[in-house]
Amino acid sequence: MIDVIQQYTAPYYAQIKFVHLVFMAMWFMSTSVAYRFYLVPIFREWMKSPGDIDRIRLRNWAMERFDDGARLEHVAFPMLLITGPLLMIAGGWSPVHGWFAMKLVIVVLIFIPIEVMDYYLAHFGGNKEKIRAAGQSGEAYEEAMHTHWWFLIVSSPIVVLTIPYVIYLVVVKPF
Amino acid sequence: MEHPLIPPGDARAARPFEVSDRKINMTALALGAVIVFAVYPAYELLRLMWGANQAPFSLTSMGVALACGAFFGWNARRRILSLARLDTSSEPREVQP
Repeated sequence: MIDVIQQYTAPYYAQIKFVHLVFMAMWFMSTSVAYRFYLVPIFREWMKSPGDIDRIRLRNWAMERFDDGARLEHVAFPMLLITGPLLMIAGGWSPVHGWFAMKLVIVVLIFIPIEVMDYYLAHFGGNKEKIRAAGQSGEAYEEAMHTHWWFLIVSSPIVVLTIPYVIYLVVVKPF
Repeated sequence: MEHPLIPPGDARAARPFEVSDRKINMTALALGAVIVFAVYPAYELLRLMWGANQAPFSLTSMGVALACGAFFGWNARRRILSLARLDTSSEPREVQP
């Protein structure tokens, strides 16, 4: 089975790599401006005066827009999970190559769990617009807002280090 | 601020964002531990399974994993503190219940 896939995909290795890179860039960077230059300053302003109605509304707007904006990232990630294994098969890469083993471990143990949580918070049970539209209590909305903010606070130092490290691994192949 | 695009706010339900030092420290510790006790062993075992690593869990690699885990945890704590608190001081501060 693997041999058949390799036979058909190997001639298109460069094209698959191109698609993989485009979606990697989309996944990596699509929410960065929104996070760094909208969410962080707006949330910090709100934290200075958490009961101020204008800041609460601005915070809610920023986070609901961020939930929507995460669509780009969350379309890109499954594409990476498709093209990544295709590249592995087409290129004959395996954990024999140290850089590849490390990348695989980081994807499975770090990226996928973070993305599962991110999908939930942005599009499913944690989506703030849906909570509001469902007529749930203000407390439920507030709880979802705090949970998402805490998730972003914790996940940002993780991805800021691990994503560039994975890019370094695949480009330099240091071990 | 009154615009249909801007969602309403509920000042009665709003509450300050508070995270205890204990939660921040434990989170940072857990993140460092993921490197040492999950990422590193998974890497070594994966390489061992593929027959690419004849000497897994060497002292050198364990030292590198420990150093990476410590740096990862320390950096995470520093970044979490700077985002979760208004002051940028990394000094521990207890949140009143």
